[in-house]
Amino acid sequence: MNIETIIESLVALFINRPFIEMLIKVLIFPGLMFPLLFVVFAVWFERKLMAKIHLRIGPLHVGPGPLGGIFQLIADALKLLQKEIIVPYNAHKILYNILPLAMPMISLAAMAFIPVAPFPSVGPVDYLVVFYTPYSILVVLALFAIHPFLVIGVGWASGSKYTTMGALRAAYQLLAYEVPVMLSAACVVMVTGSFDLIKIVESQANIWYILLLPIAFLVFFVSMMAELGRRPFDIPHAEQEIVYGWATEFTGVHYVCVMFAEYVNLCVASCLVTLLFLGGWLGPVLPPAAWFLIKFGIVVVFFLMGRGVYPRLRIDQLLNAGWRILIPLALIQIFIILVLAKFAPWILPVTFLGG
Amino acid sequence: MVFSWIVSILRPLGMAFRHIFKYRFTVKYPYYVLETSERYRGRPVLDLAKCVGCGVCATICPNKAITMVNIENRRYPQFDAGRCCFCGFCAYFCLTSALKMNGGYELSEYDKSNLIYPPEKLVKVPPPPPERKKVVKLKKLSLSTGVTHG
Repeated sequence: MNIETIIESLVALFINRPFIEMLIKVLIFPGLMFPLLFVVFAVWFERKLMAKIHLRIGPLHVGPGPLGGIFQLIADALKLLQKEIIVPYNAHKILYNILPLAMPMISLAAMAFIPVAPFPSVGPVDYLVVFYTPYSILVVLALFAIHPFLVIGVGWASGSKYTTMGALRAAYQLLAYEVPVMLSAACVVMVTGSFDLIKIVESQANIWYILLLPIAFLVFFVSMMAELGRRPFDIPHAEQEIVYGWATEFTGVHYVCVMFAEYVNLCVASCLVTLLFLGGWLGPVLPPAAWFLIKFGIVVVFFLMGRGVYPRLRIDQLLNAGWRILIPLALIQIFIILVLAKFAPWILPVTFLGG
Repeated sequence: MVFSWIVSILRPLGMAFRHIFKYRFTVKYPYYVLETSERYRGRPVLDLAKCVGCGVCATICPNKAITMVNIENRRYPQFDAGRCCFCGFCAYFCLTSALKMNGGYELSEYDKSNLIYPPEKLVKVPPPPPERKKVVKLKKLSLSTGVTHG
């Protein structure tokens, strides 16, 4: 076996269409590059948007012209990566070091099941999704549900009273939002008759689910906001009450990982809302990926707006809202779907329960 | 009750959206400078031709920021910006209107000794803002835009 045959076999292995397509999917668009760029952009955009809402100007200096401040996150990340990792005396050393590193991995893993657009390929229609499974919405929601357990573990492992309080608050919050998320996602699944995110999007060709299931959209959006811990629901790290909640003790790399995971979660949640209720990549004229990004951006703006507008809820208010308002609303939506299926099945895209 | 809930949720959201497109009062200071009003009191500026060296300014100055110094057998005021409280008494009481308070507000220095203005330095009207600075007129900041400071 001479060197030429080795090179030829290597070329045959790596320079072919499926492999390059896979590389594009994994590394660039729905894969690694997209959430990374999104995090850099979202942090900057959040600061700029908050400033606009507060009638300020916002960051100006690190970056060109109107994009001032866009490189600030990169500078901050570089600074934090150089910092010393301080492990508190009371901390559980192993968990304290492992769990924050696991957070971005799990968040990015959820990103792998999100289909973004049809892939412009020759032959059968392919989708820009890293890993296709017909149960993608279940997998994504399950991966989302792991995050709060990591939070609880981190809060306990840090061995500080603030982190413990933050973790307990996260546990309470979990009780409030997890059921409405599942119920409102179940509405969409019931109407579509499939757990497949691609089929869910394709079934919205006639009418987006935000118009067909407005209550489910509302419940899903609000409980997703609680799941992300965005401002009206940022009870687990309430800066004015418990320093920074469960993330108080983190320095350097750990802090970078935790914040990165939070913003990747924001990315995944916005993708989910876009796919489930806003028709994903469906739309006229523009290419599908552009439609997806436009809708995605609008959802992100609404997620970020909450921070500049609403005051933080108390934990009992959140539990009240979760159990007394969101869950009944989701159940009402399910009831409406059942009534529609019985008396007006032509409205629904898929006939089910025997029509 | 439900209606009032919905209103209380949507109203701040609408206000935030309106704020995004509103005019901002913030001036990017080193690059843009506000024009001061006519009666704005900055550092005093001396007109050597008008000064008669009477010393009223040094007498009236509450912080003793002005002292009289001799140059070529004539007395002139010397000004210490570090002590000045910008009351404007020196200009008000000046018999010949040789002192005017139109010296601007950019007075900071790296060295404390630079804060003392001998008569020949006090004469100079501060240079107009450099090329990179644009002057924002106060008219643009009038209350007609609908939002007040604070």
